[in-house]
Amino acid sequence: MAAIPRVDCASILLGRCLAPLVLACGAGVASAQAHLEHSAPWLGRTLDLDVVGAPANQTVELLYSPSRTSIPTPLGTLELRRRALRRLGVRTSDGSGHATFHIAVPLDPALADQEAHFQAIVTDPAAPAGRTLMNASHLRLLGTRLYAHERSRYPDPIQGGLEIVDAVHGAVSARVDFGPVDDAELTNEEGKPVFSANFAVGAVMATSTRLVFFDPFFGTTRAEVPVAPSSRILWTDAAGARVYVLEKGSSAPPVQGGACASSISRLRPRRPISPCPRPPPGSGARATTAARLSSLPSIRRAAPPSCGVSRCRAWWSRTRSPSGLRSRASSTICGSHRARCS
Amino acid sequence: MFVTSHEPFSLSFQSSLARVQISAGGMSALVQSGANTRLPRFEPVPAVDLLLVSKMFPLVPASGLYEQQLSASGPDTDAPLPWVYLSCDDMVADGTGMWVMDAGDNEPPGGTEPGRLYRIDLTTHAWTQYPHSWPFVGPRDLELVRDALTDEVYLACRAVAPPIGIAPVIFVIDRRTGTEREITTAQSPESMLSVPLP
Repeated sequence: MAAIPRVDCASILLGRCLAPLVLACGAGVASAQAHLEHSAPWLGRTLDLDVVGAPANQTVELLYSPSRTSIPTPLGTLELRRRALRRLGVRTSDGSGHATFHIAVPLDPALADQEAHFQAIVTDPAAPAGRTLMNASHLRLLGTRLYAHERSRYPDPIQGGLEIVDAVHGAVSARVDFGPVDDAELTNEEGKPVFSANFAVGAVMATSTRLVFFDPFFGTTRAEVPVAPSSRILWTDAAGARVYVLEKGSSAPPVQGGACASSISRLRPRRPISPCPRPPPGSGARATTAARLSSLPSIRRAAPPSCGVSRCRAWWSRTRSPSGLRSRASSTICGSHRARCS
Repeated sequence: MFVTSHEPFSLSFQSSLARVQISAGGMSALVQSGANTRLPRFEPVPAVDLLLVSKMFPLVPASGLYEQQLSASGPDTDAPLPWVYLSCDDMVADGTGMWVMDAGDNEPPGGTEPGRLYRIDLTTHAWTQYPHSWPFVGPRDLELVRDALTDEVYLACRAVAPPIGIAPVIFVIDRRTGTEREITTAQSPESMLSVPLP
């Protein structure tokens, strides 16, 4: 299990929430089994395809097809449609079983969201047929995209989902289906997905208690993780390796009518807050949970955050003002945190 | 970064905007009180060194805008508004300007103001009103996409139930061609994230 990063005040504020739930888990996808890794397949950029874990110093061929299939062969399962199959290149794996292919993807709008499927054949003296088909990478070439969190308004139960829109062609290219969703409406800051750096995995809060990992290329749900009631705003670390879910404080005051309460205004105006002091080790912070975007998810509770932020609170909610207008999510520095820092 | 907050249980509408600075040594905050207003939306516009903030007044279904310097904590000033009614539901910066989505007041009973889209040039304070309006249901979210392939404004528009019966769509304005189009969605789009080419 990977080490869980400590969370400090700064990251909590950046997440605009309080008691943090850091989602991350597990080691990366690397394993002894040979596999194909990829960078984000942006139009106008180079797509890097890395064969990892192949036999050392052996021939590696990279195959491509614009469509997929699944055909058992003596070499393994061919996941590319045969009719349009092309060989993109041949390399020799190095001493550690790595081979890399660089593919220049043209900045051609016609290619946006087009399917691109890759699979490698590796010479393997230990295999019965002398060669092995590795697992394929099933991608779409990424142009400008839009992700729309949606929900039905009238049927009961209310259904939710995430539309993946190819903005270049103005067409929906995939959809992640959340099924019934039963909590309050979204504000326009909520329900937006985050992605791993290579776009292999996306994550989105389907509801305030359901974190969904999905395939950003084809919309398949890869895993669903129940979480404690949380903000539906996610964020990732700079490397795009971890996704952070922010759990609502358990000591929150009663929430009335879906409204939320907080008040930075109780801070003394125009008075700087000094750097947040470190609490003594083990001081009552909420447990946090962490998971890694690149490996799907076995959530586990992790070490507490490194300052007293767990005793701060923020609530995210959609509420109505007395005039009937919508207001936005808010966040706060509150009670004990203020006492610590001011 | 900026953080806004409000006190929903208070009829006085007390709210505030905090400028929070995070550094290796910790964080500091400078809090400005929005006396008797709510500050639901704010958006930095680095190209003109401004922060644009929408403010809502108690018991009045409209809001205003004010701006303040990003690089220094100076006094804020009201941004000019060329119309009386504005319910700023979302803003997105666009170079030296800001697109402002006015979701209108379509909520029954009695809601009669259609949603509209505006752009303010923050160097000249000139307002442009986009000619399209959205009756019965205001847009929910506004996204701007500008990259090598696109320069478009997206608005998420919910469905309206029968007998009016409007399908859920994402309304798209192509700024390069001046054309509009709609992307039909299976259900009502509530929030959007645009991911342009890097």
